[in-house]
Amino acid sequence: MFEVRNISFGYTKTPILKDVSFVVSPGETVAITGANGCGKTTLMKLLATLLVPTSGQVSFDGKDALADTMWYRRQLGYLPERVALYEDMTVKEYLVYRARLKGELKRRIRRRVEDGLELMRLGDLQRRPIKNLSYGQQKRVALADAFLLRPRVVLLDDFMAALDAEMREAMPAILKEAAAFSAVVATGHETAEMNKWASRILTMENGKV
Amino acid sequence: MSPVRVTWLRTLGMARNFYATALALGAFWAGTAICFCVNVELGEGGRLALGELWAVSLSPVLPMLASFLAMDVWSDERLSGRAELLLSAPVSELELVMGKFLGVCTMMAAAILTSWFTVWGTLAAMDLEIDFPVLAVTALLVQSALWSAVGLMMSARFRHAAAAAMAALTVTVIIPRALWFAAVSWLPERRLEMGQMILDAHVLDMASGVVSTGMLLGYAVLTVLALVIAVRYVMILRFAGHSARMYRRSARLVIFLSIVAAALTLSLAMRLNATLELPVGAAREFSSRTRSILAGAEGEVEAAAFLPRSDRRFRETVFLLRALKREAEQTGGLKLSLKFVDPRWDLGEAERLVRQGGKSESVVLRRARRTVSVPIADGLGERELASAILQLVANPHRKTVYWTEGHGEAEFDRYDVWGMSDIARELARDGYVNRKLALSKVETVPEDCALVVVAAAKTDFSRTEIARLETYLMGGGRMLAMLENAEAAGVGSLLPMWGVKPVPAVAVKSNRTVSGSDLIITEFGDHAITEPLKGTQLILDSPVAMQPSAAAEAGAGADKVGYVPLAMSGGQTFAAVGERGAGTGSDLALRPTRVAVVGDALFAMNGQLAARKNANCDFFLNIVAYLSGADAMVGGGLEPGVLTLPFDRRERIRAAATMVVGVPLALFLAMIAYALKRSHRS
Repeated sequence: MFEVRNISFGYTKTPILKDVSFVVSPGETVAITGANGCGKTTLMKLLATLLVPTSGQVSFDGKDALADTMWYRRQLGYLPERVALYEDMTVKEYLVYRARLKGELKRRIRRRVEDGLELMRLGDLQRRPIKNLSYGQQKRVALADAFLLRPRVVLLDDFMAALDAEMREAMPAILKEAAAFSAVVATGHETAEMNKWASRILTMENGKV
Repeated sequence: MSPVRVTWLRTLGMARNFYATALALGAFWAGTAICFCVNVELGEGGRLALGELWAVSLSPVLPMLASFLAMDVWSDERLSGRAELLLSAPVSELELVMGKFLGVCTMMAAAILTSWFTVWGTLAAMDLEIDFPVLAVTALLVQSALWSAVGLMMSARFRHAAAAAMAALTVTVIIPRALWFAAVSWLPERRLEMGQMILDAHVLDMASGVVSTGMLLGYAVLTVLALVIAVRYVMILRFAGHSARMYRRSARLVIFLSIVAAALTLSLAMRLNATLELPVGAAREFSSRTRSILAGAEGEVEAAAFLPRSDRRFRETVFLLRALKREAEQTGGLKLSLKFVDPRWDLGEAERLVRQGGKSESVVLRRARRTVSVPIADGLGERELASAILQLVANPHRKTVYWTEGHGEAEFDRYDVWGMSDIARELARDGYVNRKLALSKVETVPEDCALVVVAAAKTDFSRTEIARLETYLMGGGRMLAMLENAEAAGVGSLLPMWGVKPVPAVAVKSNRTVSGSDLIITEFGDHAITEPLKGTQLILDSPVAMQPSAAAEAGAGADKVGYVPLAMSGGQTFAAVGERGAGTGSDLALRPTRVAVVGDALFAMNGQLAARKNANCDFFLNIVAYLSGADAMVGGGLEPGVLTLPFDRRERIRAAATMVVGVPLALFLAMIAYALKRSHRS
């Protein structure tokens, strides 16, 4: 169970997030929507332990995320809003690198990378340097990275942006396949599209869900 | 694969096809080669080996390269947004920083080694061997680690790579070197005390095998400090927002406390300044004289370098003493134990040395109850040390050299350019006692006479004086005669009996000369006196030639007179040694009599010794050693271990051009070609 309890946060004295709470069960996909600047990305960063909340707690399986950060990050797959990859690497090299960095066992890396390439339909692009890919293709690589080790918590920040129509169509199935047993939290703007893949849709307004 | 290793490989991978890296490395190779060429030009004639000069050339350039290589390892991650992905992975900040640190260190090590191969390869192609300075390279690697850590720290601190590079350059190059140059400019009179720039000095220290644990600890502490700060800067990235002020403050407090702890550790390390001696270092050759002194002596001599460690001359002194100790161990005669006493820190030991008669800024040699201080005026030579050892180990009954007087001879206690006080001082250092001898006033030559010197007598000796001298010589005596003119005023009538006949010198076209009247002699006979002098030059001012006398050609059996030319030029002989058995009817156990004749009255006068680089002093000392039976010869005008390049001007330019332009350009183009190939393939 992924639980966000009474999280508050502000870059200045004025808080951006106020007592945000929600729970995501394994296999559930929660979508968060809201106007620009309402705090979606900040919330995702807090959930990814890239920021520390003023108050409140993020926990998974009953354990505080900040108390055992390494354990928590091992359960985590994260796609930031702004995708930036190592452009000198090929797609496959990048995924191998990420799998190694996340501490995957050597014998499993090849399999994981092949699965990731297949999942995000990157087979044809695997030998291409990332600098030669479009932003949408790079986003698919980053998505493959987020799902690479079958994480139990998946955080996807505005993951539909820049994807082509074909990928948008395929994403619900992909999410179902890759995160069948994971707690998924994803942000976006198009509520109609969210209905296709989200179990629940939360709306953020004035720093509250 | 551990996250550190993954990050390390990624950091290397980022530089692999980076054009700027190629440019930086090319500039680094060229820059170090320029410094090396300049240092070799300045250092020729000194005691530093080529490998050490190369290492010290790298020392100022290394922090610049480190700043450049490390400037974007973190700032680029931050600016591009990749830091988010890195920090969300199950990898600690320490692991990320260590991986990147190792990546930069690896590039630095590769740069150092390629710079070495650039220099080594160029010189090897020109048939010049250059030894790999293992310890100096170790020092460079230790320094590189610190520069890399500082570069990384600045990269973690600043979002823009250029700002990070400038900050790192300011901390590692501009501030330390500017402070150094300011100190030297403001206190030029203390330049000698301050020694070399501490960073360069450390490389030389290590090169000579003297490892200062204080310095090493200092580097280690500063490196760890820089890495701790880098880790904290990365952590601070997470602590954005109003609520995280406490986290930021605690991180800054850790940084502050680390700096304080580092400063305390450093001051303690510098205060203790314990040194560790490693049994390595550049090989050094000693003259046959020094070797024979070391081999002939027995027992133990304690040598203490009694001067501040920061003194510029400390390093060279230590290097010489260590080499001397190694030589003594190899020859198996004398046991030499070394000590380094800093009068500022080792107060107890310094007081003991002073009580025993040791003087500051000198090497104090002690054996039993005897102490000899060898002052380190502006560098210490092998000859002075060997002479001091000889004084300590020699028989207390010192040999006496008698200088004749009363015929206008040069005086050993005259200190102007026409006197011979300098050579007399050298003799005194070698354990001889100089005394005057008025043959007209004594019945016989004193019994303790090891040698009679007739230095440029202008008037003839009386018959009585000649008879006394002859009696002395026939009894196994020895004499050195320096001739004023071809008539051989003074002892001219004696010389033919020892096979030497002075004749006027004939001007020959092939003679080498500087002023026209003097003569440069580079041709030496096969004799113990001149054997070590080959490759050097003698300068005679108004030379007198000589040839074998009738006795040398006609003698036989016990009366056989041996005539050996010592110094020749243009087919003429200008110095010779004559040897014959003891007089007829005398005891056969008596040693042979020897007379050395030099065809120049004042070749060893003060003015001549100081005028130009020559081996006159060594020639004189060798003659005295041979005649007095010491058989400890001096190794030539230039002492061994002194750097001399066998290159002419054209070869020097060729070597410099290859090292500065040729090889760096070739390597740079190879890297660019590789990068282009990769880019084209992709």
